[in-house]
Amino acid sequence: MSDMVFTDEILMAFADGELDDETTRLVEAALETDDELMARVAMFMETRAASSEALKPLIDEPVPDQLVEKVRAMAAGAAARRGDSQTVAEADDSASADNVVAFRRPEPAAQSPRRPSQLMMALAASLLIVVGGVGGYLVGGAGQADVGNPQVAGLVDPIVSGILDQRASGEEIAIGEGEAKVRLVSTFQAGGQQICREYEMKRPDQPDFVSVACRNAGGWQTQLAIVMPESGEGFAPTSSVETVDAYLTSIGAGAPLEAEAEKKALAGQQ
Amino acid sequence: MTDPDIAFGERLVAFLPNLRRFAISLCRSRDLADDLVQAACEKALTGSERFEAGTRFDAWMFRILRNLWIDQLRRQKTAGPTEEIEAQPELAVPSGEAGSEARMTLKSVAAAIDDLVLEQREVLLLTCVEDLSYKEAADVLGIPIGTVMSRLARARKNLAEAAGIEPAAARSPDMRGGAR
Repeated sequence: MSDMVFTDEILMAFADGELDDETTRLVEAALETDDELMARVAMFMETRAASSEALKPLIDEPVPDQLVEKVRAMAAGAAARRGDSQTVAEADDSASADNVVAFRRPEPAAQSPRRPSQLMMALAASLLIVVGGVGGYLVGGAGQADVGNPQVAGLVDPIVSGILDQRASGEEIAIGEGEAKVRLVSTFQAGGQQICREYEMKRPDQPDFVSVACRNAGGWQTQLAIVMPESGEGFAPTSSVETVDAYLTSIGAGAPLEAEAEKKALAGQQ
Repeated sequence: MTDPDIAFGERLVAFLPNLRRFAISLCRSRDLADDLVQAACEKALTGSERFEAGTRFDAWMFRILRNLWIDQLRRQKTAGPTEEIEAQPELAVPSGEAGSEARMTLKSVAAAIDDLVLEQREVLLLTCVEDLSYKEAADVLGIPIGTVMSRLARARKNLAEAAGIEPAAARSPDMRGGAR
């Protein structure tokens, strides 16, 4: 009966007790006269109760002893290792307070965001990072990566862009006479809606790299590219992969899209 | 003096049932879940100094585990189409003894949760099952609160429909399903 329109999200937040006081009062007032509204709120209350109830048995299930033992063993291992490193750190401290660079900050700063620091650690562990710029690698001809002019930096080159626009993850595509190869790893959404893809590039006489590119109005934009060390035949070695994972986590990348969803997402906007 | 790592380990052990439940519901396989839980614990132990005192331990652990799972999905993706992972859920709840009617209903809710797409399932698990706030769930998943809310609302509508959850006390003329 009320002329207020409440979205599902508002009613859900009301049911979950997450709504601000003012809106809560509005909803309460409307609920007094509106049965349909009540039904919508009740749905959210009941789905919460039902979900919680339905998965309760899982928590009473005994944890396999093996798993518990593993965790205890790992904790003991960590304790032993820390004991060692603390001894070293203390020795360093006493040796020279002023010319030793702190390796690990003793306490996280009050508001230090955890993600970026995790990312930084992974970056530090990887070999070489190039942000932007790699897009130009084909523009100036093979071996002339530096030629790419500043406006081009960050934009994925047209050939690879075409591949990113159209080909499915899991595919490996040869470029030109087959001297370069693109392997599409996955497609996912970052943050909210932006479509991003991870791919690997193998090139003759140049270092291979693994890259993340996201699509915006101007086309595919390189977000991250990591040059991979010589790894023989295979693609990305673990350290690069971990760095990419840390990066993707930091930008809030969602789960990789399934084949159908990927097709739709790629066709979506262009 | 108690060793901080041992204490941290015990805290993890105490939290294993929750972590395992989350893992099982997330990847819908007990074997995968136990591997995942172990990997998450390992990661947590090596990074235990990154846990900020005063923040929620459970949320921190859920985030580690969930990120490992997403990474794993992403890697599997390279090996070709992997829809089977999503398409072959194990039942989240052991079918065990023949149940009462209540049990049957609950089982269908568990199955309906299993059927949700990952995006919706994870947000539902964190908020409705593990009692995280929208904000905490947003932090675990690395997405905005607004996205948490829209996914969660959709998840619950889907769940209500699939499991036939009807508001008990309300008249709902345009909803299908029998009166209760």
